[in-house]
Amino acid sequence: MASLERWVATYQPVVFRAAYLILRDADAAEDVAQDTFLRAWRAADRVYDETGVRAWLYRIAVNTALNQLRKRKREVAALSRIGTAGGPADPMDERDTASVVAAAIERLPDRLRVTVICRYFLDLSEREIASTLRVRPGTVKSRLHEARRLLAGDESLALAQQG
Amino acid sequence: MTDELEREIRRALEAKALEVDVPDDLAARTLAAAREANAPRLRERLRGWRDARSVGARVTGYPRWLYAGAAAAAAVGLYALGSVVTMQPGPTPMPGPAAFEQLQRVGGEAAELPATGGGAVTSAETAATTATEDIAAVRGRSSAGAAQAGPDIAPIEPPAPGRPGSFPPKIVRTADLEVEVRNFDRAWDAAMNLASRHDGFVTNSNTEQINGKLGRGTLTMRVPATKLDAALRDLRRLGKLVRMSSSGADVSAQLVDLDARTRALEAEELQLLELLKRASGVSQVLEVRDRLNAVRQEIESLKAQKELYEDQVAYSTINATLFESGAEPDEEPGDGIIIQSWRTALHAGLVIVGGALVVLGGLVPLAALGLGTWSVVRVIRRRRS
Repeated sequence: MASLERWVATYQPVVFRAAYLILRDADAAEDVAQDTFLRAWRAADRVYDETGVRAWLYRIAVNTALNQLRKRKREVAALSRIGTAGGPADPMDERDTASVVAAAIERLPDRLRVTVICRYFLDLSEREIASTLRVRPGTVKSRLHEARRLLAGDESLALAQQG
Repeated sequence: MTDELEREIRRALEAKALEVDVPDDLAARTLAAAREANAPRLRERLRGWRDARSVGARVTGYPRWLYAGAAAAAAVGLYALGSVVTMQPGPTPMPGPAAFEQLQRVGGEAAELPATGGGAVTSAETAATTATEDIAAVRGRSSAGAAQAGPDIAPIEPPAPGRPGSFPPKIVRTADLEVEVRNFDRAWDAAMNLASRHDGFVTNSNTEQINGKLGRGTLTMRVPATKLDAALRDLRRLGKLVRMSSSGADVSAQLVDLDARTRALEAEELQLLELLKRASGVSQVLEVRDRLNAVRQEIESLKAQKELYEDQVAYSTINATLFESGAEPDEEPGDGIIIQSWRTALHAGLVIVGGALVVLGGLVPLAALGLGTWSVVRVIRRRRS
């Protein structure tokens, strides 16, 4: 239980926010943040070195979030909510570049978006992402490349950067 | 450009993530849920372990139940393998175990003979008591072994190592063979004559006809041990040797033991005779005589056992089966190789199942012990945490 407390204190905020980025839903992110650590605790007695714990916990979190995403089919609703609530109808109205980039990321396909979140928010290595998403490292590399290409070509982002 | 884009992406994601606040009680709720969670199911445990391994987290090894399962499987496998291996056909067992069992029975009965028989006489109790004590003293000396039986009995020395000639081994030899013959009647007559030609004798014979024409017969003959090989050679020449096995049982130790016991009892007999001469009173005389009778019976029994052993050693036993082609023994019509193989496989399967049951039964106490230890460790861990 001591190790679980330490893990929760250290990693749960990041796990919660990553789950929020993936699910775009704070309540669902809470569930994921809890489930992640409960699942980790069940195997806690077999982990005696903290070296790989971070990647391990993030892997559980991402997979749990992806399961939620598929299971509850929230993607359409979440996208529409973003589109109506904070979507950049007119990029020139956006004063904050970060918001524009975030909105552009939201428009990426899930497979690219989750890869981007793993790489640039959770700071997982390409090998760790490959293991987490159960794809080959080359696939991770190509997904990241494609995501960057799409973001770089996003008109709203270009306009925001010019502004 | 890429670096700048990556920085923008990171900043954007952080900003987006910070849109929501982490609920203050999330950690507390998570820990509470963890405390209340039941013991995880095996599947979940395995998944958690697999997750840890896949991202390179160093774990203590495989789940413990995998170790236990593997150990149990290995034990069952080894037992099954051993059972199958030991089922391989070996030499035909010695045909004379009945004789040895009989010997054992005789010896056991002799040992159980009543020690005293003076209960019927109630008078002259003092004298009887004295006699009983004297008999007990005599018996104590004799039962302690030949070496302690008294000055009249020479100690039996064990054969000195490296001097095999000092005690020639006493071997009971037995041979079994099956011979396929062309003409059964002629071969049978030759076999019967063969026993007397080698100074032996036939103890048992049995013939039968298969399908009304084919002959088959078994006979048991005893021949002097020195002529066993010659007799076997002659039997083999009667036809085509199909199967043969021979075995030998070393009974040297039994004979030495019988000798020692006999001499000890003979010494006791002498002492009882002396006691009988000095006995005064009816009860004392009767008691000594009862014991004397018992000792003499025991001596006779031991001598009979020794004679039987010596006879077995002096004369070897041959169990011979002669048959014409088509009248093979132990093969019923239609009992082909497939059926035999099936029976063997069925037997092997039963042995394996039986062996597995034995192993599982043996593991039950260990499992109980392990479960107890694990529970204690778990309780201690929980209290600590």
